[in-house]
Amino acid sequence: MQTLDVIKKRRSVRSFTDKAVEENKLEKLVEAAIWAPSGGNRQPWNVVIVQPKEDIEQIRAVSPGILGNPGALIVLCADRIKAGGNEEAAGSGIAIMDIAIAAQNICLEATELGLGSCMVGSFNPKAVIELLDIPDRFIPELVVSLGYPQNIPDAPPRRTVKETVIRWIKLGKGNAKQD
Amino acid sequence: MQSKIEEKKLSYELLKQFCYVITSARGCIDEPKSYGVSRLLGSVERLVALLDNQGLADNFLKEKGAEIATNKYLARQDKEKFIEFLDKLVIDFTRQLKRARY
Repeated sequence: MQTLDVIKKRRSVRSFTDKAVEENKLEKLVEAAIWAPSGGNRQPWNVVIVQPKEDIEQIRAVSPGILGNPGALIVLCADRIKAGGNEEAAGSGIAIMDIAIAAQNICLEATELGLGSCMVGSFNPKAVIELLDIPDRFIPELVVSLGYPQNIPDAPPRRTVKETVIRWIKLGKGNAKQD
Repeated sequence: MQSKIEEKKLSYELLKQFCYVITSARGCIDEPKSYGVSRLLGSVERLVALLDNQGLADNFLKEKGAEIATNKYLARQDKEKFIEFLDKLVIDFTRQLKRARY
């Protein structure tokens, strides 16, 4: 698929079949994540992958934003050390943006592979750390739920390019006042 | 009478519900206000599913659980229809409460 087609085809899928997500596909998703850009090329992300049903159920219990019954979860964590050496840096806007970009790469690759995905920010990070025994240096920032789609929702309306651009300073016009 | 294993399983399933409700309560402090509505409905949906798995959900609860599962996304798509659905749900449960009184 062309890049823009994949971008437009991606939906937030919240309803999945019972079919398990293959390990080789999960590996490809992580590969997509690690090719995301990051501030200063710090690559502040690490992931925890969860596949067993009951483990996913436990994460769901502390993650109200995970809907449906996903076949796998990828928990994207900020690495305090890679992000800049302290807790503030791990939680800084740049590390979070890097992780969000990596998550988008995962969702786009999932679309390409015929998987449904949904980015989830509504979870309790401390509870997730506790359940998954995540070492102190990592902070869960986003969860991507994955599985084979049961239903693919319709695309919600989008604003047009014209409605989105606040101002477009075109070639040859400079920043001078335009008529 | 339930066996010890069944009691343990029920207790575990209930713990998951409590985790969901408590986590949702914590989330309500920083998350968008509209999420709270979804979490409350999610709690009912999960509780009905739990009762159903235990063979304790009657037809009314099964039907309403299915309605919640179908209509919960209206919150994002059509606010007026979502409010209409919630208003009807309130009345349906209230009428069932009147009927179920013993």
